[in-house]
Amino acid sequence: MPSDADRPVAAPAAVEARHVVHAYGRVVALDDVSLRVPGGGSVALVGESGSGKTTLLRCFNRMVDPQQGSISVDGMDVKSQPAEALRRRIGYVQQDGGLLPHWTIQRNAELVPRLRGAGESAVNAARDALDLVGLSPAKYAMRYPHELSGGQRQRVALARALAARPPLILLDEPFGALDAISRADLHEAFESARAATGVTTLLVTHDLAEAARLCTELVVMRAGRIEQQGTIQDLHDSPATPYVANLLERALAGLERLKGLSSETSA
Amino acid sequence: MSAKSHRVVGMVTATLLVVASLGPVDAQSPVDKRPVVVGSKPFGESYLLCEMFAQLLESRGIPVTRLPGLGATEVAFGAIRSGAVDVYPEYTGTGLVAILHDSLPDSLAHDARIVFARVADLTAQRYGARWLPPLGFENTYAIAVRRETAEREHLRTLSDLARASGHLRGGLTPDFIGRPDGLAGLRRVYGLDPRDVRPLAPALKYQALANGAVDFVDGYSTDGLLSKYDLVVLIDDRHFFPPYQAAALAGPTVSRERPDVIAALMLLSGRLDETTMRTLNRRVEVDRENVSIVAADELQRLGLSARRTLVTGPVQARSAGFMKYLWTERATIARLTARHLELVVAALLAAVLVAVPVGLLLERARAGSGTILGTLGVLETVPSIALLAFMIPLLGVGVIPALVALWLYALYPIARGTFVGVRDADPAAVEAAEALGATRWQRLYLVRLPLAAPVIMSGIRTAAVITVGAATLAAFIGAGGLGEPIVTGLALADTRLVLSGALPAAALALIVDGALALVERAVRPVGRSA
Repeated sequence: MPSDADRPVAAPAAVEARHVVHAYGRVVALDDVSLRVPGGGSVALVGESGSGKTTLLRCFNRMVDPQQGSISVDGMDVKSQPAEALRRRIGYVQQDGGLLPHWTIQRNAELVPRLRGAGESAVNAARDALDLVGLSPAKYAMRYPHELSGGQRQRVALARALAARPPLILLDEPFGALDAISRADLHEAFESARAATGVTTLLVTHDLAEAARLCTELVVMRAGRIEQQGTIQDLHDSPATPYVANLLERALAGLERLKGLSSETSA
Repeated sequence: MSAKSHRVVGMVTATLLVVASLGPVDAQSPVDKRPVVVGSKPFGESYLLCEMFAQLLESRGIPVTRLPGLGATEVAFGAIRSGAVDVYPEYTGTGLVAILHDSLPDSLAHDARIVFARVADLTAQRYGARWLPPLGFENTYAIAVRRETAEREHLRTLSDLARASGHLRGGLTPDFIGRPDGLAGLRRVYGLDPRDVRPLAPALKYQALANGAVDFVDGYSTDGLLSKYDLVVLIDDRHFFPPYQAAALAGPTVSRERPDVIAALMLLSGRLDETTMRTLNRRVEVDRENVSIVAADELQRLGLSARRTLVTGPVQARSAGFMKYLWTERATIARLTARHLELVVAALLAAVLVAVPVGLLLERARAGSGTILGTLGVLETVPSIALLAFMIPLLGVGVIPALVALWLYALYPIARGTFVGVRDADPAAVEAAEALGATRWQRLYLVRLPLAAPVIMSGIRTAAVITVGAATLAAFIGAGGLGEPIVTGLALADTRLVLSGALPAAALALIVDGALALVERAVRPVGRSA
């Protein structure tokens, strides 16, 4: 297998989904979905469970091959290359991290560069990635996943996804299982890593506030369809459907209550 | 603790090295004439006759391999048919009913000469095997009761027994329970209907009768123990049992190609009468003299062998303690242990080579895996002795069928361990590896196999312990191992001999289990030490 790990860092990839349809048996998960994200863009897919957001995310690295429609990454149809080759060029973080429990943090972070045939340069790539997410390699490289906290493990998962410097990263509720403090820490780590790499980002979350904080654009999904795509300001100012309006309203109500709480305590 | 573990590992390693250095399991003797294999069934008289045949042949310069204690009639005769055994002592009545499944009209069925002629003819026609002229005594089935029972119930004949059988318990050998000339025939001819029938090992039944655990047993009219326990033999008043003349039964090959062997064995024909045989049996079964010494004495008395053969059988110095006995027999026990380990290791390795890939394929296919694992699981429930007996028509007797049976037993735990281990390997980690571009093969060897290793190992460990246990039964089909003294000891009612096989076998099981537990811990992924 030719080594492509030493190529210069790829430019952020533009991604596009065109008229994508997918069903699990009789349950329609994606119903004619089209979406375009420019290179370097960051888009959050938000919606309830079963809205199709995770299915759409997984179409981009071919963990799901949709029954109709087409998906392209960096202008190339994803089906034009073997799934493994495609996946090695796309970062991926899932909710429970999925670190290999029998490998050290270092070896976990080396996974993708090694799969790409990087050889010994994988060692440095992994150390750089750990630095990037705020984990000191000197302190953590030789530990095992079970010796780390949940937040630290998700940082490793993020480092693993970024170690091969992919042009695109897919995140499937990566902060969902964390407590509020770890979550805020991780948001910071993620933002700085993203700023340093400029990687195109697709983030699945059910938390509107998180989506608004981490991504420039939001895509609201419901029952396999896109309700609206736009900035949080667009969604707030001109909701396309009553569902979007309702979603914003509820999120804001929660924030109001918190704000009231803080002004009461400070008064 | 850890020093102890190291010692255990050291012991196992040393044992494995010993096994490895022993070379092939069935090395053929370089002598141009291959040794004559003399077998026996698993009871005292059969052992004694086997030993007499063997010594007689050896005194004529014919090399001999002894293979005593073969399961029962089917096993021993199966061995004759397959050529694994060349000659063993058999009884004409058994030949007629249990081997040939034949019968004679009542008027002829009690003439010993007619029965012999019929059995000899049919056996030669059907199997090419040859009955040598009878040895000179009959050993018919004898149904025996305690004297006290006979007096209380007024028992003199089998008809009397049938009348009283509703409240009596029988302790019968499995062979007798299954044979048409056994329990089934007694039910049919006499209307015998005991309250309860327990299958008992030949060596244990007299003891069970004497201490009142059962009320009647099947024995042989020449059994030495009949007189020891003051038992009453009931008269076969309806002449149900056919004549059971003892004779050497020789296999097709030896009958055709070895006139020297046939001629030597015929020297015994007509030389052993019932009184002699009862005396000899008593020396073995009651006085616990060494089988080979009793055999040598008798051959000498008959003028058939001047030389006293080297003692190879169990030493019978009753006064010596058990530990001392183990020490005297250490060379034999070591040899049997080595053979035992050979069987276990070979069967286990072969099982790992097959069952691990099978487990992986099943996990990949999923569909149908339940059925296939279920089928392998059913194999597990077949009693070992039945599985071994099942091998005989296919593979004869000896090491090969034993290995195949043990191999079959070991498959299920290993295949199941592999299947479950790989199926349940951390799903999130497996998915992450897939989503980051690991191929199916990479996911298997980088993630799933390392995570499944302890579960696979524990399957292997279960299989190993099962195999060590099942291998003791391999002696019933002549594969040797630590079952050999157990089978012989049971046949001769020699507890010490039984223990000299059973204790090392138990120790071996514990050592193997402990050693593999260490391996299991060693292959546990570091991240999963919790």
